[in-house]
Amino acid sequence: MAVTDRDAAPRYGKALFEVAQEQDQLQAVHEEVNELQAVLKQTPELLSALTSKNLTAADKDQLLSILLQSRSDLVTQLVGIVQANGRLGGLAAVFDDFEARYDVANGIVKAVVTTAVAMSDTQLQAIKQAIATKLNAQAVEVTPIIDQSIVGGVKVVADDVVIDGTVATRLAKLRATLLSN
Amino acid sequence: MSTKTEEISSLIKKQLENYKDDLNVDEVGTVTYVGDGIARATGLKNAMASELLQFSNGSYGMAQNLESNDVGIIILGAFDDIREGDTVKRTGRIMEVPVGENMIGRVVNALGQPVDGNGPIETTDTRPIEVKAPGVMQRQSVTEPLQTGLKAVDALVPIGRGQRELIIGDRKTGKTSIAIDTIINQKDQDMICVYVAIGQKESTVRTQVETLKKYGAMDYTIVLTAGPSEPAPMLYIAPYAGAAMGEEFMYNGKHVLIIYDDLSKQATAYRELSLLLRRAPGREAYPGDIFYTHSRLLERAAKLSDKLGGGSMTALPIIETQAGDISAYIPTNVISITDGQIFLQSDLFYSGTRPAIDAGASVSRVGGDAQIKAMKKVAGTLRLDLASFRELEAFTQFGSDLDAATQAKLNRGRRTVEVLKQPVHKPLAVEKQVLILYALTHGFLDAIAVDDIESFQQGLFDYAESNGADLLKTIRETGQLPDTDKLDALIKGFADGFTGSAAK
Repeated sequence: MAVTDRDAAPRYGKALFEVAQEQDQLQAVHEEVNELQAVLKQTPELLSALTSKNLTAADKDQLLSILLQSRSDLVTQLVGIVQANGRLGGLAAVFDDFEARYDVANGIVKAVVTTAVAMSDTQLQAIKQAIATKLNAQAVEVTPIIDQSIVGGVKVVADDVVIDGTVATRLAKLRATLLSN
Repeated sequence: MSTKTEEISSLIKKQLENYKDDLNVDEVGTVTYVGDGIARATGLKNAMASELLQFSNGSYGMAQNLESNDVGIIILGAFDDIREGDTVKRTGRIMEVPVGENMIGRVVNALGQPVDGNGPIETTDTRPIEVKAPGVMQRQSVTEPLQTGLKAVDALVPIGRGQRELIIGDRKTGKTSIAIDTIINQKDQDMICVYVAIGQKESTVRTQVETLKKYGAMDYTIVLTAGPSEPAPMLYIAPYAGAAMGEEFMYNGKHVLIIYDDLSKQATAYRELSLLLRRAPGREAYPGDIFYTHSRLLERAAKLSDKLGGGSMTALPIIETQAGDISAYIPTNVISITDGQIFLQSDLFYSGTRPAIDAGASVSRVGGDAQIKAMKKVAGTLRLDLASFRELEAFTQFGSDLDAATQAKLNRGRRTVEVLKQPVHKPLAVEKQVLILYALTHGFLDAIAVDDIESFQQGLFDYAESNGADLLKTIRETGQLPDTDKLDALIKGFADGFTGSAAK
């Protein structure tokens, strides 16, 4: 079975992470990767253009050179290797993998917090604290989402873990209990 | 008015007793592929092998392949409304089915849910469908007989309680009939039967259930069915679920008979989902662990030690061969796992020898110890006689000049074959089997025309019931052969008064 871009991504992510760690550039690389991730997210057509068969190699090189303007050697080289191996389609996955490793090494947990109404700053701080103790994290990065359909309460999604304390779920559970009898 | 609201609120309170208002903490993954009864999901990093997972539509799945990026899941239920991107959550449990006394007399599916339309089953106990089989010290050797009620089986390939005896043969050779007859014969034998129908037509299962009901056998039988229209995972887990239901009784000191009808269809279902899960195909495209699939299932049949209550579970797996080929992959596997096999031949079946048991190819490796003494005495040489008869028969088809000894052997052989014939759903009590086999081996039938053997046999049974009830009782209760002079006199008494159809 052929190795997909997705399967190959962790290899590149791991390599970038380990080299950055050796050269003590983790923080710098992390910031650069974050910027590149943001670019890739904002222009989803970029990756498909880079992997497209309709563009000449020269066009692609030009696109990449714009993307890689004033980047550190490490990141430039990584993208170069990824391109040379024909894995540009998995570039986003490589960055994701690097970020995941960076988060694990620094005890950072990224969480999506859904509430029915916007949270105040103190509430946000409290919830960060609660997530940090629950999941043994050093730091918590929260992405707040407002969704009226959960009625009330809060739902936290961090990686594979879902902590569901919404009124909607509780109502559904109540309904199931009443109907089962 | 106020009392009514109070009543209502107290009722609601009672219903809500089980409701716990706690926070849901789940581990979830995302479905990346779904189809053909299996799904793949990313995430679920901590999922365990065979763990039960729940999809967002409520269906359950079982984690099968744990890979670096994703988890291969077999779906146990509806999968047409599961979409790519749906969540699937861990339950932390492994698959269990309801068990207990209340399952008896019911028809259930592979998840233990009733499918007979007789309402829900009130059970409190469950058992995991995959458990480790009893170990060396938890077992004892097979000593008690399991009477199938079929002369050909009880005399030639006796089965003991706790044994695993394979029933193997082509399609339409009477494999299921042997199994059903064995269940019917367990009436009042303190046995609980589990009939697991895997990939059998729903109409066939219905017919079997009606047959069992007709003979009063549903009073001690659980029928578990996974039909051909159900997804392959249901067919795959059906025998394990059946074994779990049987084990509940075995570990409570009872005797259980479980029939897997048939394991070749289970193997096919397992092959299907293994290929879909992208496991490497091996011989005949079966996955590498197909042997283990069957061996771990059949190993759960056991005779438990007295310390554990002395219960037993006898397994009668069924395998369907293609054109009599017992050297195909699955048949050889299961033959080597079981303690013997009953081999059914279509040639015999169509020539009228029913049950169509091939005496030469059928063996029972442990059942001989479990045979009652009386049966052992009368049936001891039967297998050899039959084998030499088959050989002689083939040899003498070309010539007619035979010496008296050969002629006698042929005569005896023809009568043996005739005696071992038995109509379907007419199991015979062991004392009567001993009686007719005694008559056969002691030459009382030699003078009877082959065509009259059946009526002679029936007449002898009726005669013995009225004139030799004490002799039959001795065999039944002590298992020993009674005084042979009395037995001879009884048979002689009947034979003298018997007139064959030719004389009439």
